[in-house]
Amino acid sequence: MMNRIPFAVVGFVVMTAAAATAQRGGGTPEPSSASAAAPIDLTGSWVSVVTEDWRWRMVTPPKGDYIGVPLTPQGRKLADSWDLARDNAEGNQCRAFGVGNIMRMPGRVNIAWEDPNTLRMDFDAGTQTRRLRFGSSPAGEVSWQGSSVATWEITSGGRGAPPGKPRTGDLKVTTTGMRPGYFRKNGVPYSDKMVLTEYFDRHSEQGDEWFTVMAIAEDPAYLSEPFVVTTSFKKERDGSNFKPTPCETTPPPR
Amino acid sequence: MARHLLLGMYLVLTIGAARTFAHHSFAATYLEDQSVTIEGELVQFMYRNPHSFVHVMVKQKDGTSIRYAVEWGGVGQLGYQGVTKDTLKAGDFVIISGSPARNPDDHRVRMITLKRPKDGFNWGQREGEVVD
Amino acid sequence: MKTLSICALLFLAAVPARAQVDLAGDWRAVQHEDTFRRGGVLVGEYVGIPLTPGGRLRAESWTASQLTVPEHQCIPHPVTYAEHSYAMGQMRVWNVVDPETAKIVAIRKRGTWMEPERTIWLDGRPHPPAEAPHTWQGFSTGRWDGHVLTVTTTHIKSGHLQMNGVALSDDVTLTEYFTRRGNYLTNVTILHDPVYLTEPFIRSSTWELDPSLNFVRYPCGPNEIVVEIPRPPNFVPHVLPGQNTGLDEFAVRYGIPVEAAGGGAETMYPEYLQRMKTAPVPAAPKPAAAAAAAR
Repeated sequence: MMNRIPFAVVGFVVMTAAAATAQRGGGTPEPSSASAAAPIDLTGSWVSVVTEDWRWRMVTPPKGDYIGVPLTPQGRKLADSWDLARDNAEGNQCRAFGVGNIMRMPGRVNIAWEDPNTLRMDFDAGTQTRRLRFGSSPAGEVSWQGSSVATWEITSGGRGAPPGKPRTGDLKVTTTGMRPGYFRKNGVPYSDKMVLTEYFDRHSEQGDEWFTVMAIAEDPAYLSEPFVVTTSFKKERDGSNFKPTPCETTPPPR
Repeated sequence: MARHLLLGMYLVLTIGAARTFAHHSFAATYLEDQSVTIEGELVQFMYRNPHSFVHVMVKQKDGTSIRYAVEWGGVGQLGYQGVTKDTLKAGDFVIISGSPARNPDDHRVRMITLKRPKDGFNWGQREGEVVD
Repeated sequence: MKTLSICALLFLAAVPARAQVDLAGDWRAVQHEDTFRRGGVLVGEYVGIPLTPGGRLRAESWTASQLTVPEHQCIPHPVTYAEHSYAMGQMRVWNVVDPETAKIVAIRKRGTWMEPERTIWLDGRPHPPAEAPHTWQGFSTGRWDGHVLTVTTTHIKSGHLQMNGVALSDDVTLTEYFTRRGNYLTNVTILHDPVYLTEPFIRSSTWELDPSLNFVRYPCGPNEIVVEIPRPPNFVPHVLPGQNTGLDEFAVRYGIPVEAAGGGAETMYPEYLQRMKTAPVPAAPKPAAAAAAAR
C-alpha cells in the first residue's frame, strides 16, 4: 500500500499536466527519451579551441600562479604547496584531468548517446569519460569525473508549443561526487565538496559548428565565490584526430 | 559631515573593488620589473582622461634638463582619492618613483609614488592608489 | 519502480526554461579567465590568435608610444575589443522602447573606459550598404533564438584585438551570442577578418549583475587632447619592421617557444602541445636589476 502512494501521486501529476497540455490545443507531443527531447545536437567530434587562458592551459604554469581563481586562504595554501612528483608517486596523475578542468584541457572530445538517456563524452586528454545522465545519476563510487545529472532546458518549441515550432534550448549539467582535483595543471585545488554547474550552448556560424560550455564551480572549501569560466569547441568532420593519451602533467618550464 | 565621509569611503571602496585595467596594456608600455626615481620642478599637471599626466623638469648630471612625462590615473579614479586639478601646481618640487617606459626616447614613467616634500603630500602609499 | 522512473524522466529530461530574457542592468566583469591578458599583455604576446603573416608584421611594428599622439588619445575601445576587455569592467545595458508600439526596438550598451556605446537593433532593419561609414562600435542587429540573443556587427573601423598592437582591419565582422542565466550574462564572440586572421577567432566572457555598481564615467573628448609626450612637430612614433626589441620577452619570461609567442592558428589547437615539446625555448631570464637611479 505504501509503495503505491508515491505512484499514485506521480500518476495524478502526469495526468494533470497532460490535461493542461490538451487544454492548450494539444501542441507538440512529449518525446519519450532525453535523446529524442534534445533541442540541440551535441553529438560528434569536437576540438578545443584555446584562444583564452592560453598559458594556463597549453603550458603548465608555475606553482603559485592562480591569478583569476577566487581561492580561499586554505585554497591558496594548498596551491602554494603543489608537488607534481608527489602526485605522480601517489598515483594522482589524473588530478588535473578531473571534471573541474577536463573541459579546459587542450584536446578532443567525442560525444554520443550511450543509451537514450545517457550522453557520453570521451576525452583524449587523459583518456577520460564523462556520463551525463538524464533523470538521475546512480550513486556510485567517487571518481575523477563525478556523477553528472543532465537536463534539457527548452526555451522555445517545447511542451505546449505549436506544432512545427523549432526547439531551442541548452543543456544543464550538475556534477557532484568527484575526487579532489585541480582547476589548473599547477595544483589549483577543488575539493570533493564542489558542485559544478555547466550550461552547454550550440552555435552555427558561417558554416562552422561550435559549442560553448559555461562552468560555474562552487566549493565551500577552496573557493571564496563561484568560479566562472567559459570554454569553446569546434566541430570536426570525424574523430580521426582523436588520440587518447594518459594523464600526464609536464613540469612548469620556469 | 559623518554621512558625507561614509559616502566618500563607500565610493573609494567601490572603485577599489571594481578595479578596471587601463585602456592600454601597461606591460606593453612600461618595464614593470624596473623602477626609476626622478625629482624636479613640476611644470605641468594635466588632470584629464584617459590618464592625467605630470610633467617634471629633471636636471641631468651635465646640467641640462629633460622634461619627463609621468602617467597617472584618470579623473574618476583620482577624484575619488581626493586628487583634484588644484592638488599640484606648476613650480612644486616633487619626487616620483615609477616604471620606466619601454621607449627610452619618451622619457616617460608610470607613477607608483609621488611625494611633495614642502607639505608632505603623497600618493601611492594607501590601498587603491595604483594607476589603473 | 520502472514506471516511477519513466515518469521522473519525462519531467526531468526537458524543463521549460525561458525564451527572451531582459539584459538590462548594470553588469560587472567576472575576471576569472584571461585576467592578465585583457590589459596586461606583453609586446610579442600573440599566443592563440590565428594571425596572418601581415597581422603579425603589423603587431611587431607597433609601439605604445603611438597611443600618445593627439589623434589617438581619445579613441574608444572598438567593439572587437571592448566586449572582452576588463578595461570595460563595468557595463550598463538598457532597452530602447518604441513609444507607439511599446515594443523593444533596440538594446543599448555602454562601457566605462572611454565610454564605448553601441546600439543593437532588434527591429529587423537591414545593415547599411558596404560603403557606409564605419564607426568604432559598428552597426549591430540582433535577433532572439530562444534564450540567446544573436548579434551581427559590421562597419567596424580598423581597430585592435589586443592592446599590444594586434590589429583588425575594417573588413572585420563580428557575431555575438548573449545568454543570460540568472545574474550571469555570457557573451560568446566570433570574429572574421580576411586581412589579419586566417580563420574565425572565438572568445567568451561573463558578466555578473550588480545593482549596487557605481557606474564610473570616463569621458574623453576634444578638451582632453593634450601634449602627453613632448616630441618634435609632426613626428609620429613608430618601429620599423624587424626593429622592435622586446618581442621575445613573453617567451623568455614564461619558458615558451618564441614561435608560439608569435601566434598563428596552429597555436589554438591541441596538436601544438606536441610541437612545443621540440620547439626551441629561450634561456631563462637573468635576475632583474635593482632599482635604478634617475636617468
